[in-house]
Amino acid sequence: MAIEKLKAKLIKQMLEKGILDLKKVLEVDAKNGRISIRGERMLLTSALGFANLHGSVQKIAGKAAPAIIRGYGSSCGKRDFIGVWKAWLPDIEVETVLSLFPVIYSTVGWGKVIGVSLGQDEGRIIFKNCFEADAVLRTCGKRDSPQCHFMTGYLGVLFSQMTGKDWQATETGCEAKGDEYCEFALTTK
Amino acid sequence: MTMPTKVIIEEVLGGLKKVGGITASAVVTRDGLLVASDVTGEVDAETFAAMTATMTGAAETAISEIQAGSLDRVIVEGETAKIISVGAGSKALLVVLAASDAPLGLVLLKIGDASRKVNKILE
Amino acid sequence: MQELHQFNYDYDEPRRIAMVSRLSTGIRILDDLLGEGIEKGSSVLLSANPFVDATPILQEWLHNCLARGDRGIYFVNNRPPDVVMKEMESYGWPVEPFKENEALVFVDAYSGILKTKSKETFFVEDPVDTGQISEAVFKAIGETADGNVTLFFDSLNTLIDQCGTGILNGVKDWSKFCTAHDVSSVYAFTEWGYTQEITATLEKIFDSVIELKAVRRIVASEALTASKIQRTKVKEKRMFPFRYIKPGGLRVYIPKLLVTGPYHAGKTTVVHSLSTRAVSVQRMGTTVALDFGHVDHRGFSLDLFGTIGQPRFDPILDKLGGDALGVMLVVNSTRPDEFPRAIEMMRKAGVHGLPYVVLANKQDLPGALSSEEIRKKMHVPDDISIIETVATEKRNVIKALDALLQKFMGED
Repeated sequence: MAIEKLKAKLIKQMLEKGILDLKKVLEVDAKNGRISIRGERMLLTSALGFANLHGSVQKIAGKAAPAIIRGYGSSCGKRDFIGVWKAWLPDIEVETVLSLFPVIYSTVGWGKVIGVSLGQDEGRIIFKNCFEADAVLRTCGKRDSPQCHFMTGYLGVLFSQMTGKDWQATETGCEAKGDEYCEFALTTK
Repeated sequence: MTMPTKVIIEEVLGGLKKVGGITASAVVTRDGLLVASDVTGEVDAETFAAMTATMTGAAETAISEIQAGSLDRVIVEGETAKIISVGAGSKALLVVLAASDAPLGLVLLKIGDASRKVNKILE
Repeated sequence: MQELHQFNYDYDEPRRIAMVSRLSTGIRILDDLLGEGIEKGSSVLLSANPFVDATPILQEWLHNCLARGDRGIYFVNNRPPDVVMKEMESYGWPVEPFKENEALVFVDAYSGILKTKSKETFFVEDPVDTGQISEAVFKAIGETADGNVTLFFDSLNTLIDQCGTGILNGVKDWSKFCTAHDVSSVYAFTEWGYTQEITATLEKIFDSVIELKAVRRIVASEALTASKIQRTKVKEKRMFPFRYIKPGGLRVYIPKLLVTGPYHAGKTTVVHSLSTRAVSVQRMGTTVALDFGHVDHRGFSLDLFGTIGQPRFDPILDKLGGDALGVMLVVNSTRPDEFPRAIEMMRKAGVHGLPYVVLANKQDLPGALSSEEIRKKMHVPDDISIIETVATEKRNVIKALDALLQKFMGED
């Protein structure tokens, strides 16, 4: 009961103020070397290190690297929806979930979500300071093409799971390319 | 009314099917996205696109690593079928499934022709 | 800054196991220009200057395809198919039998403009509707799938004028469709001063571009060249003057250059200094028959005819002058007393209005007049070049030839 009350309070706060206090949800178990949020184990590691994923996959798979990283993002998107979103907010409508999306991902440091819009067959998500673009940009400089492959796979599957429709994401603008934001276009397959 | 590129490429792929031994084909981007396919049955074309792109990408890095020039094609020989992947320009690949006993010489000839056309169409 | 494994790969066009088959146009000069014909399935733009007609080439090409058993599709939007067939007949290419056995099909995009019923199987009801045009083209191609098929388009500029520049997207689509089906295509286009944007787009769409130019001339007035061959831009264009003859079709014109002037002005020396191989018939130090030479210069293949200087041979000048591209008038710069004779010869040959240049030869001798002095004395008009030459040393002779060619090409 208390947990439900706390949850309702947090959701209300997020919706009203648009922020979530990480300190309130982060559980630190220093004795056992574990950090979790609502029971789900979290990991703190260098964000720049994500660029190493890009690098090592590219070294082996060459031009096909995006396919692999995208695949990784897709499976994370699925897992996060089932294991985190759905588990935490089981009966909430799509609209509420969508409106919580910016707050949640900002809180856990993926980037600042400037906007999310989802129509019948198309949608847009705009990120400022996306961790993936940031990692690539700061590790190896500006690139010629969009770099947020993980996010592309992740977002497509996450929204598909959320809405029940089959969405595919493509990155139309990327900070690692020199654009102002990382912009993702969603289309139904 | 313009004919989308995808449909035109499907015509090229349709032509390939007529070659004895070729059972399916697809054009995929080198980073794993499906452009067009002529694939029947239980093959999940999109997953297949990612796999074949990866297979080719890795083959390229391997050839590059041993400094053996550029990659001509990848041929995967399975028990009952073969997968052949050739480049179709800088951004795409042509992937073909063939029966194990398919006449490889003729198949490669036709694939070469088709990949050249696809390259031109995608330019 | 740590560099991630940067994968640089040089992608050539897919290495071909088989060579692409080439199809001859049947017109030798075109085959030569394009490199033994065109690649099967490639697209060619025949871009003509407003004063030159591209359709006879289209039709001769079509006839050659049909004659060797291939199939042809003729899309026409500026006159009825019947008229096209009559034109072809006038050149000596009757196509009725081919139409009968359907080796030749027309796509009629003209009847629709007049709102009359078309007699053809393939027609476009509303020729301003790009969608309908695409449909008709695809249909015609789809139904003539076997063997070598070539699509002839007459004309592309009418298409642009009728449908707007949006039709170019249609052209791109047809190109891709043709590639997919191994159908070669040839488009006739008249350059009626379209925007840079349109010409640039056209340049990109087609694999090869043949340009038909008009040259400012009275005799044999057209020239063709290739500016793009199988997707490669041509750096040094070769120009070939040509004309259409009925019957027969396209004939390459090898222009004649007259080298004339008074006795002993140095004509024979000029001919020999320009030619790769020259023949003179001389007796006692003077030419008694023509000097004849040949030179290939700036893409032109030229025959040189040096005339005889003595007045008794003048009637020959009339005969020769009529057919020449231009005249090199050679005068002895040290003999102003011969200038009237030079003017007379010039008049005899020049009555045909040929472009000419004056070679003020023997500049190495004492007393040689300068070009300005000669201009005054001979009353040479300001738009005619006078080049100071020393033919025995080959000095400036090529320069004089260039000046004449420039005049011929209308580039002055």
